[in-house]
Amino acid sequence: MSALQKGPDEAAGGERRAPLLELRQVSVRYPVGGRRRLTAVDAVDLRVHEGETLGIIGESGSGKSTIARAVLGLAPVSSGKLLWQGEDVSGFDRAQRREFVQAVQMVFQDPHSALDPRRTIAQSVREPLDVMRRGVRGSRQEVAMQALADVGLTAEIAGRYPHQLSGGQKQRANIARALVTRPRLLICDESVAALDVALQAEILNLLQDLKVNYQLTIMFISHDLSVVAHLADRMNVVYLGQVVEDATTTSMVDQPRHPYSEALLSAQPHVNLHEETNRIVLTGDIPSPLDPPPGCRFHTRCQHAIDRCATTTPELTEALPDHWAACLRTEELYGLTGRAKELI
Amino acid sequence: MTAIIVAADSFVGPSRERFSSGRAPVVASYVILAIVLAVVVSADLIAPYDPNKQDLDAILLGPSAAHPFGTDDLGRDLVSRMIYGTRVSVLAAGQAVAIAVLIGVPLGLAAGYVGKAADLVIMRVVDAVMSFPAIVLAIGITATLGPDITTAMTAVGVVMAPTIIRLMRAQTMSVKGATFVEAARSFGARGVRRLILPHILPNVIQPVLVQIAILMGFALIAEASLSFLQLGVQPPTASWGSVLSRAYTFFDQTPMQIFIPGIAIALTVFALNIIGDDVQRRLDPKRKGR
Repeated sequence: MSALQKGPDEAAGGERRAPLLELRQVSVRYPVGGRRRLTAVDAVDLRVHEGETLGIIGESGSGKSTIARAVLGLAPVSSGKLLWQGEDVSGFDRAQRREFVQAVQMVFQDPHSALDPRRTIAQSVREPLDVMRRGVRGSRQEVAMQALADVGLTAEIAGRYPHQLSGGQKQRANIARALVTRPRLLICDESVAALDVALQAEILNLLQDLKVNYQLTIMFISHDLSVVAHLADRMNVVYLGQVVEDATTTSMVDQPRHPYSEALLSAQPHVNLHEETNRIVLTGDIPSPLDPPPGCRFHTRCQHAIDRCATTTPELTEALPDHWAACLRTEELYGLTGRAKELI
Repeated sequence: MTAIIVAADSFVGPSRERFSSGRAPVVASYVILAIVLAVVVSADLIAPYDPNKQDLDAILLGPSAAHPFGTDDLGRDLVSRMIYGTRVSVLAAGQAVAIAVLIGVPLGLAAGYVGKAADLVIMRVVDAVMSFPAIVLAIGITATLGPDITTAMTAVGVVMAPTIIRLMRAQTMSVKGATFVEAARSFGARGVRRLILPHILPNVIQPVLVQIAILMGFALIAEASLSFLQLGVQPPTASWGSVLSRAYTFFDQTPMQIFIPGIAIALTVFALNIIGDDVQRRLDPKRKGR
């Protein structure tokens, strides 16, 4: 587990300073012919604090990537607000917009297809600087080479084309490209999913190092719980376009307060496992976001679902101190909430 | 004549893989292209006679030392007419292809990249043009505007443009959604200068370059067909098509003469198709930097 880097505001408790990035009731909807619309992200609230690593976890089709794309302006934000250091991004003027684009960079999932096959690595890595016209032309090349060096790529590789690199090298190049603008928030969308396990570890370690050296805040999106748990200070579990649980990694791993998170955690293989754990096997696939189930979206696959779950939509409520879950039966299922315990 | 038109209609070129087995045909094709281009450039230097100079004492001669290809019905030297005709035919075909590319590339990019209404309008026009037999449309246009090689080849270029538009559109649509394009957009690359020219165009233009070679072959046949029908090159100008047309008229007296432009057209079109395949192979990005 990485060192928990809490902002001073959090340690103090009570009112928090404005998060670096905040999503307030953000929805992303796509028209899909006729009057139907696909709601990929549904009224999501999300906060990333300066210096922390936020893990976003969910299965394929849960909308976790769409959240990242919405932040970068690649997916349309249909409703809700995106706040950067407390300020509404939609109200930004050109200069602010530019600041924002430079400050938020993304590392994509597939290292190969994220690089233009007809450009050398050096050309790709310096491109953000060219696009944003940062610095003089000559110095851009230096910045790009420095970024490549920082991710562990030699100058020799800079002149090569993507197809001449290994998967790990390509992902390092992608990370270098994301770093040249000196971003404050790095969004990693399944950034190690396409790599084999040894390489995953290498890239994860690299990200940890870069986080310190570049003073990054990281939003790490993955379906792989072990990866997120290893890296993240805080985790958000996403199901069908909604955040169902939001807690610190320790709290989430030790005492999940939502049946979905619990199922995800139980499905995780343990190497040194002495005690028997009951693995909760979810049946079926994630329902279509075109026609999400009413009430709690998870009720169709939840082993604890009761009639009420199909009619009442649960809100994120504080189940434990600073641990939020959207389940109607949290208390029943997991006993008294932490807060209640404290009161006793 | 019908044979020419039928052959001309299949300009998308079925010769994709058939001839790409050995290196010899490829080398031969480049040699043929080089010779054709050399003739185009140096026609004035290498032609033994004025192509339009008549010698009515020496009409419809067979091959001889003075006239290796013989003479036509007006006593004009066929070697000289073929040499100048090569220039006329190739430039005419080049004009048609240039027009097709100039129309096709931007419109195809626009249809594929912008989509929506632009795509709808462009593709409906493309469908309309394509639903018409290409050569027949060119014949119709030249018949209306008057027979003239520039008009004729402009018409051929317009008729060929839909092939390129479709190709560009399909390519653009697939590349537009590529992750590297999305990555570029994520750091603010937008518009023609930052996104379309650096990222989309280089990744979609390759099949167009291949298509250019194939369309060039089609345009040569179109020129020959239109000139054969006297809708293209006007007398006394020589072109492959007009020489062929003339030779066809006097086929019963000098049957060998139609083979001269015929072979020139066939060989050049073959060569262009093979070169098209070869260009495709060479442009594979995986070969870059090796």
